[in-house]
Amino acid sequence: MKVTPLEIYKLLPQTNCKECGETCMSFAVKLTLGEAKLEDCPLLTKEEYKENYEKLKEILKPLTEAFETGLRLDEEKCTGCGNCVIVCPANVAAEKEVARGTGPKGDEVVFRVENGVSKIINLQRCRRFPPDRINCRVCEEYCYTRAIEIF
Amino acid sequence: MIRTVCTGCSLLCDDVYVKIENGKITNIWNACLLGVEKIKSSFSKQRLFHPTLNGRKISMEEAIENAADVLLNSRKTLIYGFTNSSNEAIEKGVELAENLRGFFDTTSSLCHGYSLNLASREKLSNPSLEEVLDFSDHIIYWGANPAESHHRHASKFTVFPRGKNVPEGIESRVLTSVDVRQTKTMRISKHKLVIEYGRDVELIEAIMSELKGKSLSKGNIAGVPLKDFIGFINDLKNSNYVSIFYGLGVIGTNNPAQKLKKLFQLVKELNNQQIKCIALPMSGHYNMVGAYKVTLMKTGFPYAVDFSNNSPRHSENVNFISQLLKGKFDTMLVVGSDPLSSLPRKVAQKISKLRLIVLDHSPSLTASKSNITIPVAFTGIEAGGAAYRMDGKKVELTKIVDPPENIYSDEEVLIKIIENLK
Repeated sequence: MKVTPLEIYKLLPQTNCKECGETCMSFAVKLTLGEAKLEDCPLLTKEEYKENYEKLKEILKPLTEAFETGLRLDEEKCTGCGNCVIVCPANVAAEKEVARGTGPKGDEVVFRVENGVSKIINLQRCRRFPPDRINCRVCEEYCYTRAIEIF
Repeated sequence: MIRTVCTGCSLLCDDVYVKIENGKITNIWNACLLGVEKIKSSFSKQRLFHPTLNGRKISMEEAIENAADVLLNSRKTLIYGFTNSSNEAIEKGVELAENLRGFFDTTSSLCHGYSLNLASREKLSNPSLEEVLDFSDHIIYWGANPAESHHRHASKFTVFPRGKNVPEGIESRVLTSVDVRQTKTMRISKHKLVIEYGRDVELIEAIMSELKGKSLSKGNIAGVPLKDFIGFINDLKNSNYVSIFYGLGVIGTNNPAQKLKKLFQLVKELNNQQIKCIALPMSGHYNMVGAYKVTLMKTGFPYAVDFSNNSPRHSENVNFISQLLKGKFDTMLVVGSDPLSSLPRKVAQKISKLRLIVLDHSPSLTASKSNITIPVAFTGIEAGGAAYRMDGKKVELTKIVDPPENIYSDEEVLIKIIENLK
């Protein structure tokens, strides 16, 4: 299930108090990415927001279990455009040149285009897995052909 | 693995790795499906191996002698193709046309050769794709769908890479697509402007009017809902460096001159407003830009050059099609192109009545109907040479394997034909 920042934002206090260090909207983005915790917001734990807090906990629950989710790539749909290869932060971390749009030449990356289609060669390096456990979905979001599915 | 330059399209990707074991391709890294097909087809048993004369196998020497003979005895020869050839081969094509006092034209005269010519006349800047990578924060695909034509355009250069002024890649850039239908490129675009067919000029005029501070409050603009249009305009006004990549959707439909001129006016208007803007065509064939540039350098004209007189001539309204339809030619030499499949019936019928000589590496309808077919090597795989990338950057192509026995590059075949003319 995809969680959008807007959906989260609607349930936040929307006071922009910045006690968590962010505006409510950017806090919402961080929550969807798994980069912040609900408890970072000092208002949410107060009685008046209890209902919203519980709802948010429910919505964000699947994200905290991101390591149990998977990544599927349909090679029949893939055209080897390399959008996933270049957009993937784990790929960039593995090979610096990938950040500049150059296809990888090593074996450390998550995605590499081989024989015209993208292959997942190191799924365990995906940021959705521990230790990061970030709800990153950029490969799925920017796939031209919807060949990538995160479930 | 061997590093090579892919000739699948005019992006000329230089980060492709190929593994060859026992004369077979066993792995290709980083090339898209188009590039892979191109590389693999050079190893295919379906490629052309033998020269033929009216369908009968002959030796390479006989084929070259026969070709030279036909060309020498022709009244007027059309020499055509070359967007899938190296710069060196294009030069030889021009030289041959000059020798024969023939007519030289390339596929670019039907493609973006026209756009490049107009852009140069309008004195538009021609930045490199690397500049776009580093600085452009708003990419617009207009009548172009790189998701299906230039698969790696966005990932290698324009949208996803992190550049100097766009450190977050796609998150630092705005992506807009303008087309007459929902395209796969639109799936990842922030602004999806679906216009009604043929109404490009109307949209451009509305954008220009907004830039000049005159707002249009119509329900929709060229079919684009006002809400979508305004969202796009807001982002456009906040951009620092806009790159417009226009495709055949702009020049392949009605009145390309009018649309292009308007588009270039928009480029100039944005620059006037301190928003840097550039426009580049999405050339298809890997050396379309080379066909344009080399012809220009060798003859002073971009395409459609007539050598009937001592000096080369070119006229605005004349290209090989208009001359063909007037019955000006009796012989045609086609290099790396398949006009019988790709051109309209009326033109194809005219071509089929000419004495045809075809140089190609793979079977095609034109090759199958030609009087003399000469198989050639795959440039960029079996032969080196240079080509121009879609932004005009010169790229050295690589030879990674030898061609099959007795098969030469198109450049070498053209040299041999020229030698045989004497």
